[in-house]
Amino acid sequence: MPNLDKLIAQSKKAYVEIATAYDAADINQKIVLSESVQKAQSTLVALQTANLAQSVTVTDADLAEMSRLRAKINNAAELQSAIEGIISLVSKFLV
Amino acid sequence: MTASKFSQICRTTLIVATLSLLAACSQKAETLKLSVTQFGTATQAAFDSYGTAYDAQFTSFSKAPSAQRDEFVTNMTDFTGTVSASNIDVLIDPDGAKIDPSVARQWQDTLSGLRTQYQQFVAIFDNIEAGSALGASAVTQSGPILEKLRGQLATITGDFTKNPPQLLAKRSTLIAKLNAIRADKTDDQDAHTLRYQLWWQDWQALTEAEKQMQTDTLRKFVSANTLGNRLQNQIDNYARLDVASLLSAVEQGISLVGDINKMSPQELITQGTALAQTATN
Repeated sequence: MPNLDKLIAQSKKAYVEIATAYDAADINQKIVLSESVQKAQSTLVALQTANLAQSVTVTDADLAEMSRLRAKINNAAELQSAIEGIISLVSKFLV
Repeated sequence: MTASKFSQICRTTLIVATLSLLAACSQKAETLKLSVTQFGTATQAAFDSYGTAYDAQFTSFSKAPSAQRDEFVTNMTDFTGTVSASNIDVLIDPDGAKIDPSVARQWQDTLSGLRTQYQQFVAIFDNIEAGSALGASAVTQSGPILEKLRGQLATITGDFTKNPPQLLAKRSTLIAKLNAIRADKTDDQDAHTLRYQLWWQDWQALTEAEKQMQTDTLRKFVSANTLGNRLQNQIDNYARLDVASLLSAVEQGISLVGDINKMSPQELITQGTALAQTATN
């Protein structure tokens, strides 16, 4: 979303401005500015989180399907191992 | 040859053929698993690097413990207010984390949710060599999910290429430092020039470190995308491919990652931008 890109870019600038003022400040001013830095930092991370979340298309149904496929392969492995056991047992009588 | 002898030969042949078929299926599945593991490892490395790059946005220049202690002593001398629970953290470590914990948690949850998706995809194939013959249909059925995972990865890569994280806290510190040099009227012209030159070096080192961090992460994403594309091809054509073709795909994957490791930052940006376009089309 281009708007989110723009917001992130603006938010980065805002953070650098407030963080620069914070770095230049003495400890008394830092105490006052600390909350503004936290807000700027949190806003940027929240926007970046929204941007990352926006790219997620895999759903809970897909996760359930992955579990189902894993179980299917595991069940197949058990059955296959049993078949192999039977074949090797039978082959002892034949060969 | 008697009928019973003929029947015995047939049964023996059938057993040998079945065992050979199972062995071949198992070998094919093991080879596919190598490609799945390559993809899984590459995606985890990409997300590791991604998380580190975003965390680095707010990382300040490191200070020796003695410098931190001296700064604390100075701060306490200069501080005119009353020490309280709300300001103690800033007094002790003015450069410390200032992010809202709930926002930080949301970021971590989103990133770890993504990691889990790719780990869960790899886990489908945990036992594939043992269930190679009867579970082969599950391989084909995993194709559409991989397609979605690849789409996500391409979008994230594109976004990272367009708007990579920067070392913001360090940039702020250096900007404040430059303002301080400009405002300092006590230095003579030569001292001022020298301080500007030193600042210039620090800034160059910072932008170089930033570029390195961005390139390293992008390289890992381009590798993961490339391996994902190859894996998709192997999964979609699993029934038709033999062990040799799958093995050759694994080797090609290794060689492609080698090529990506040699790419320049500009080539990586071109790749990242192309991936973004593929994801949006």
